Amino acid sequence: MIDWRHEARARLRLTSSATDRTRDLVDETADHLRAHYEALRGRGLSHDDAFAEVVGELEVGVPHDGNASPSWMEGLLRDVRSAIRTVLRAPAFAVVAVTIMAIGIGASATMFSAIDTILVRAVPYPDADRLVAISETNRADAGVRGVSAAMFTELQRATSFGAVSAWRYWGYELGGTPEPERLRGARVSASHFALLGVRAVAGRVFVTGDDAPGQPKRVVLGEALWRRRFGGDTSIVGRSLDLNGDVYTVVGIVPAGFALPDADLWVPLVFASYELDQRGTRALSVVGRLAPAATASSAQGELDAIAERLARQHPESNGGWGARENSLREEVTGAARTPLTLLYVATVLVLAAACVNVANLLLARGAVRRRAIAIRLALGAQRRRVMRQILGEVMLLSFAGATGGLLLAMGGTAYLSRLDASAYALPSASGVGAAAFGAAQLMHVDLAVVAYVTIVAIAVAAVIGLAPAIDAARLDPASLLRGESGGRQSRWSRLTLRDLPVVAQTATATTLLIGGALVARSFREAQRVPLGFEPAHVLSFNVSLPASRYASSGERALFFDRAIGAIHARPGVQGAAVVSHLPLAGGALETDLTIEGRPLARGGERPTAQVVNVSGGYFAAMRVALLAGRTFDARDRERGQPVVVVDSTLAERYWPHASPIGKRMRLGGSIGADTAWREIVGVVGPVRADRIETAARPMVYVAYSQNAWPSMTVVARTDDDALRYADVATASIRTLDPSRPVYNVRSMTEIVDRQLAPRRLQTSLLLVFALAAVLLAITSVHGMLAFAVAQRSREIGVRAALGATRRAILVLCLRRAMSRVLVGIAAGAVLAIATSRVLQSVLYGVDASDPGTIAGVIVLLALAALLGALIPAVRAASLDPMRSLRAD
Amino acid sequence: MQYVAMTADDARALDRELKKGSAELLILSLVDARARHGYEISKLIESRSGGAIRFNVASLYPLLHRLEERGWIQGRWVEKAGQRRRRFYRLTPDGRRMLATQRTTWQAFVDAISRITDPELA
Repeated sequence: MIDWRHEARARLRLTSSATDRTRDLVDETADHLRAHYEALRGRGLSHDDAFAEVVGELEVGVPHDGNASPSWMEGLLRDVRSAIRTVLRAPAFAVVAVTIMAIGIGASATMFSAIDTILVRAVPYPDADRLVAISETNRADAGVRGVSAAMFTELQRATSFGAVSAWRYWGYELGGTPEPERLRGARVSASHFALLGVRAVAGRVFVTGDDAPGQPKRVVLGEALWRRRFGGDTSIVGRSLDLNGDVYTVVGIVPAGFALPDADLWVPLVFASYELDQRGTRALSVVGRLAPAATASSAQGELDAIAERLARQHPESNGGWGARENSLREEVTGAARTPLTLLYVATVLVLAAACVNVANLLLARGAVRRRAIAIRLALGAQRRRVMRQILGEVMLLSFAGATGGLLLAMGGTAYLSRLDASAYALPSASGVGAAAFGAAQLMHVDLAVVAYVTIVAIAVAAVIGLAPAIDAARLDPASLLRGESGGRQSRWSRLTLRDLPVVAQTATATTLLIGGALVARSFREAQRVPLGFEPAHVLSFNVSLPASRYASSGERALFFDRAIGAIHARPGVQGAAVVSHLPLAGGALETDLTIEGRPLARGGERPTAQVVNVSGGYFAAMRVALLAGRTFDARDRERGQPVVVVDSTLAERYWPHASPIGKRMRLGGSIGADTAWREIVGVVGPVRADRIETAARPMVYVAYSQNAWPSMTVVARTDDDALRYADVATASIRTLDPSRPVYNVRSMTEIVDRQLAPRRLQTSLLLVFALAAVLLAITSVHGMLAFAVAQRSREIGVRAALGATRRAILVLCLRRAMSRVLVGIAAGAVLAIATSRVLQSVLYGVDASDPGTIAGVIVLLALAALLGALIPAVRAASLDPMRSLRAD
Repeated sequence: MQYVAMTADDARALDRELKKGSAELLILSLVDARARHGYEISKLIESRSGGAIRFNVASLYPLLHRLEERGWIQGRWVEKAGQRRRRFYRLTPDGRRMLATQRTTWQAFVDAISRITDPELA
C-alpha cells in the first residue's frame, strides 16, 4: 500500500508541514498521484512502471515551502543577472549613460568634498560655536582691522569671554646649521592652544605663564616641520634651537593640519612695554571663547562699552574706533562660503541635467521595447516584475555611473588639494581668516564623500528610473498590440510632457552659461584694474638682518644700500629697491596720523593711513607714477629732516584744494617711539596694496634711509622673465653676507596672480560646468528631434507625398526643436535674473543682470541648439515618402 | 539610440511567461463552465490539447493556490460517498472578469502574430 502523502511530502521536499496550506498541497498532490497511478495501472502498466512514471512528474531537488514562487533573494539575483545581461546587450547606450552620470556625480562629489573640508571642517575645535574672532573697526571707512596690544589687555579682563588669545605672524631664521632656513612663525598667547582645545602629539603646548615677561624662550613646532627637519624624532622635545640668534627650548609638537594661525612654529607672545603704549597699532589677530553665560549679543554689547570707554580716555588713538565679535566659523569661512556654494549648486544643476538626459535616453530606448513588454504583460507577466527589472537596470547603470563619479572625484579633489590656499578665497581683514585654507590641502575622498555618492546614486536611480517604470506600469498591452502607439500623437507644435527634458536641460544650460559668462567678465575686469604699479618683470625676495650683527639703523641701511647697488649693477636689471610691505602681498601696516594745523574731527576721529617703508628707487623700480614733488634721494639722511611721500588718495582727502608738498604730519606709534614732524616731499599715484578689488587706501611712504628696519623685501625690475634673475640677485646678497638666507623668492606677477586665483578657479570651474550642461542640452535637442522624426516618419511621408517641399519639412522640424529650446532659454534667463542678487556678491565690475551678457548667451545657446537639431531635421527632409509610407 | 530587436533575455522571459500566462488562462477557462478538481483540470488540458500541453503536478497545485490567493478561483474540499476527499475549484466574479480580460489580450496577441506571419499583400 503506497503512502502517497509520504511520497508527495518527500518528493516535494517540503520544508514545513505545519501550515494548512502545506497540508492542502500534500493532500492534493497525493490525491493526484494516486489517481494517475490508478489510471496507469488500469491501462496495464506494472506497479513499478506506473510508480516510476508517477513520481517522475514531481520536480526533484527543489525545496518547497508550499509556495512555488521563488524567494525574494532568488528573485533579486535573477533580476540582477537579467539587468546585467540587458545592459551588456546595448554597450554603446550603457557607456554613454554611465559616462554622463559619472560626470554629473563626480563633479557634484568633488564640490561636496571641497565644502565639507573648507566650510564644515574648517573649524575642527571642540565647541566651535562658542569661538569668536574679535577685531577693531574704524567708523570713518567702516573697515575691519586687527587689535592693538592695549585693547587686547582690556579683552583679557572682559567678562563675556572665558578666554582670549592673540597672535601675530613673525619670521624666524633657524640657525645652527650650514644652511639657515627661514621659517614662518607666529607669536601666540600662552592660552591659545588650550582655548582651541589643541593637544600636543609630543611634549606639551603652552601653559599659563609661558608668555609672562622674563620667562625662558620656548617654542612649539608643527608636525610638518618636525618630520621634515627633525625626522619625527621625539627627542627634539626638551632640546634647544637657534631661532633668530636666540636659544629656544622645544616644549612640544602640535598635529599637522592645525592652521590657526598657519605657521611652522609658535612662540609665546610677550608684549614689550612700548607696544602697550602704541594704541594706534592694530596688528594682532584675536580669538576668544564666549563665557558659559554669555551670548554673542551680550559679548558685542560689552565690546561696544569697552570701545566707548577707550575712545573717551584716549581720543587721539581710539576716537572713532569700535570693536566687534564675529563667529570664528563665519570669519574663517565667510569669504569662501558663497563662491563654493554657488559652484556646488552649479554641479547639482549639471547632475540634474545629466539625470534628465539619461532618463530621456531610457524612455527612448523603452519606447522601442514597448512591444516586447506588452507581449510579456499580455501573457501574464506581473507588472511589478517588469517594473522591478527596469529599475534593476537603472540601478545598475546608476551605480556604475557612481563608481566612475567616485574616480573622477578622486582626481578632482587631488587637483583642488594641490591648489594654493588662496585659490579659494582671500583672507579676512581681521587676519583670522588667513589661517583657514591650509585645511584645503587635506581634501580627499573619504567616507563622507563615499556616503554622499551612494545616496546620490540611489536618488539618481530613483529619478531616472521612475519615468520608464511608470510608463511600463501604465502600458495597455491590448491596445498596443492592436496597433495603437500607446499614446496619442500630438500636433508638431504643441508642447507636451515629453518635451520637458529638453526644456529643463536648455534652461539649466542657460542659467549656468549666464553665470559662467558673468564670472568670466568679473575675472577680466579684475585683471584690468589699474594697480598703480607695473608688476611684470619684477623680482622680489626677503632678507632679514639679525639684531646681533646689525644693531644700528646705519648698519642696516648700509647693508641694503650695497645690496641694491650690487643687484642694480647686474646686466638685465633696470632698477632695484627695498620695501617693507609689497603691494598685494598682505600684512600692510596701518597707523594713525596727526596732520599739522588740522584739528581733530568731531568725535576725535584721527586720520589713518597705511605706512610703507621704501628706499628711493622703489617708485621707479615699481613704476609708481610721481605726480608732484620728488621721491627720496641722497638728501634724506638718517639725521636729516624726516620726510614722507604720500599718495594722491591721502593728498586729495586732506588737501583737496592745495598741494600737500611742504606740509607736515606725525605718524602714530608704529614707527618706534618717534614723534617727529615729517615733511611731505612728494605725491605719487595710488597703489592697490590690500586687494586688487579694494580701492587704494591712503598711504604714506617713509624713507628707508631714515627708518632702517631689519626685515625688508628687495625688488628688482628686469628686462624679461624676473625669476631668471633669482640666482643672480640672491648671489649678490650672499656676497655681502653669506650667512643671510634669502626667502620668499617670487615675481610680482606671481603675487598678482595669487590675488586673482579665487576668481580664476571660480571662472574655470563654472565654465566647465556650463559647457557640460550645454553639451547635454544639445544632445537632448538632437535626441528629442531624432525621436520625434522616427515616431512621425509616416506623417512626414504623407506631407511629402502631398506636396510639402524639403525646405518646408526642414523648417517644420527646426521650428519644433527651437520652440522647445526657446522656452527653455527663456526659463533659464528668468531664473538667472531672479537669482542675480546671490550671484552679485561674487561679481566684480559687472552687473548680475547685465543685458549684454544675457543676450550674448541666449544667441550663443540658440545657435548651438540649432546645430544640434540640424542633423535630424535634414534627415527628415531627405526621407523618401514612399519608403516611410510603406514602413510600419 | 534605437534598440530594434527583442533581446535574447526578452525572448527567454517571453518563453517563460508564455507558458505561465497561458496556464492561467487555461485554468480559468476550464473552471468557468463548472467546478473541477486539480487532477481533472490537468487531464482536460492534456486531452483537449491533443497531448501538446502537459502540466507538471509539482507546478499545477501551487499555481491553483496562487490563483486562489488572488481571488480569481475558490477551492472547497468535497467528500462524496464512496470517494476520497477532493478539492474542487470554481471561478469567482473577479476571476470571471480576469478571464474576460485575458481572453481579449490573448486574442489581440494572436491577431498581432497573424498580421506578421500572414503572407504580404501585393
